[in-house]
Amino acid sequence: MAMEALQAACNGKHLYEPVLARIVEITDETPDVKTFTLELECGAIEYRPGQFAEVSVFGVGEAPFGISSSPTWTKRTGYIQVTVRAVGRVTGALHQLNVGDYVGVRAPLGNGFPVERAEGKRVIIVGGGIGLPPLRSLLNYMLDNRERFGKITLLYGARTPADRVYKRELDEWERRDDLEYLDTVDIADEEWQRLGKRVGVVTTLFPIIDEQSPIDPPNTIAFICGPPIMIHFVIIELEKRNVPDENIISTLERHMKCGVGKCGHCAIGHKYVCTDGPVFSWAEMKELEWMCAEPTV
Amino acid sequence: MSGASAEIRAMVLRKERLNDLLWSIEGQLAAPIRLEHGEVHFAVNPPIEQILQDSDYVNSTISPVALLFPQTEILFNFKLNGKPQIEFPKEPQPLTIFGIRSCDVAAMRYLEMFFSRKFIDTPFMERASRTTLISIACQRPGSSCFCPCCAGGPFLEEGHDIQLTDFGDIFLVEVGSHKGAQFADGRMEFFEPAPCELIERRNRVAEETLQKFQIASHMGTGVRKLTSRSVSEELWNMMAARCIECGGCAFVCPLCTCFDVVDHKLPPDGDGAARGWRERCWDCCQFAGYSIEAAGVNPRPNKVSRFKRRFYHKLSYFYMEMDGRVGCVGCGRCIQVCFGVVDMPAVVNTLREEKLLGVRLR
Repeated sequence: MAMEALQAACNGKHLYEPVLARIVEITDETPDVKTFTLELECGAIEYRPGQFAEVSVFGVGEAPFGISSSPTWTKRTGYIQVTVRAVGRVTGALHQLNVGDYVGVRAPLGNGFPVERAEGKRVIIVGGGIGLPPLRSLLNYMLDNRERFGKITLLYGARTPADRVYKRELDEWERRDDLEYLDTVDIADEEWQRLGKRVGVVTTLFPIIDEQSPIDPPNTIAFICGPPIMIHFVIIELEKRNVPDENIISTLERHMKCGVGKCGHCAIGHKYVCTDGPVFSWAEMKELEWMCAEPTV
Repeated sequence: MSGASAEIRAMVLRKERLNDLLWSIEGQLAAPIRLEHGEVHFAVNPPIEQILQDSDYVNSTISPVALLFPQTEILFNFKLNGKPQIEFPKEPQPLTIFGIRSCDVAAMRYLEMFFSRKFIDTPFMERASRTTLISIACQRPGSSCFCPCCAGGPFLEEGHDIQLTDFGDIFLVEVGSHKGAQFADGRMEFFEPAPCELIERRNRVAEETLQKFQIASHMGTGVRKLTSRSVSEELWNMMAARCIECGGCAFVCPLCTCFDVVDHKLPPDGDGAARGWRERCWDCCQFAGYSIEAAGVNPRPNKVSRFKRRFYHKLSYFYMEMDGRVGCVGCGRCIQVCFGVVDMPAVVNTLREEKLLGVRLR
């Protein structure tokens, strides 16, 4: 299992020891989002889409990020990528770094998406804003293993066109004929209006797929990542269309500090988002909410 | 030494040989001493004559498990000058804790389970693997002790390395683990065979001690009420209102494991290299900032949600199933620190009575 591998292979002898990683490329995604391409000193690692990395800026701290590259891409290049929005201390410090600088990495952590369960199924991926990175890992993994999955639909919503990450890849995805791609923004700019593109929250895309490629509930699996409020409303749309709770897959957001189920910060009831998650099905989330009497999203 | 024979071994240690036994210990020795203002504290390598006798103390203010999971500890040091260099603290020395109480032994076994579950917590487990516990069974429980309610004592039937029972001039010595057997095997010259009569006496004393407790905490009822969600929001609100979010309960609880991780960096030296360290320090789920995420979202934004969290962790059946025990050993330290009388027995009794009592049941 990936978890033991962390302690055995990459991390040497100490659970909290980060592996040194050199920044080989920094891509500006939006004014406050950058993608960092990292070369790990321990060599390429194996991971699942949806697993995360604890990234250290020495002297500032460590923070968790979903790995945004796909395992298939890592196999080809040897690198991993994380996509980071500057919101706090560690993320702010990361944004100050340059190509050639070193960070620390502990990865892969968490359970990752149950990709095997999606095999042969219609896949619906719903991303909101900066929630796209782990889904990008998943989507690129699926596109690299295209024959194993049924029809794939990507719904991507962002606040404004400028807030959209991976703009070049979005264009490529839009052009592919083996992927149904729909996007929308809450607030359009002039260019967006000129192109006549969709405006509205991401749930407004569901009536469109009802028309062009209706959901066959038992054979559909959905992966959602975005702000809690978006996850909430997307789940409602999927429930309306009778997608089973076990096939509605999302990631939970909590303050994961140690990443290995010890520090306690990310616990929801008796589950630790960092080791039992961050990926949970809606069925698991509902059960957990009952068990711990607090909301998960 | 086979496991089976380790479990049944009982011997006698004459008290006049105790100091010699303590002198024979290699590595560090931690033992209870009394500080200037009266608190009991587990000191490392104290003067042997200051070590407290069984009848001189109930328990320490801070659990000796803090010797293995200290309030702050350095995870690693680093040097930043081009490529960062990481350096780990030295491996810990062997440690023997003498005079630890049964509840804290039970806590230690819980921590060993917790810190080795799924991932092995290197700093804790390195220390735990080198630590031997010589506990003294409690015959004089304190006014805030309730270990019989939580499988935490006063006498241990399992989980101890070496358990001593004080019988005036002699200790009954019970060996309960391989580590305990290793300790005893290397020091057979200190021990004499235990007569059967002494073991019967020990069992009688253990029974009699149960009658001396002044507090009951009906943990089973607490677990059932909480897990079945039959506690009203109103009751939770009333209990939470009494919490002043000082974090004292978590800091004295020997089963509380939450920690924060913090980096420190010093300005560059003459050689141009900045040095620093990453440390972890105790944290507490009652603090408002505990769950806040980087973007400022707080999944537990109010006091009652944090208060519930503490008791769900300690009392929920789902945790109990996973941990193999209720999240309390009955040491009573939370009673000593809680200003609002919302410590473990007070909360459990409130859940049981379904009304806020404001006082503990005696």
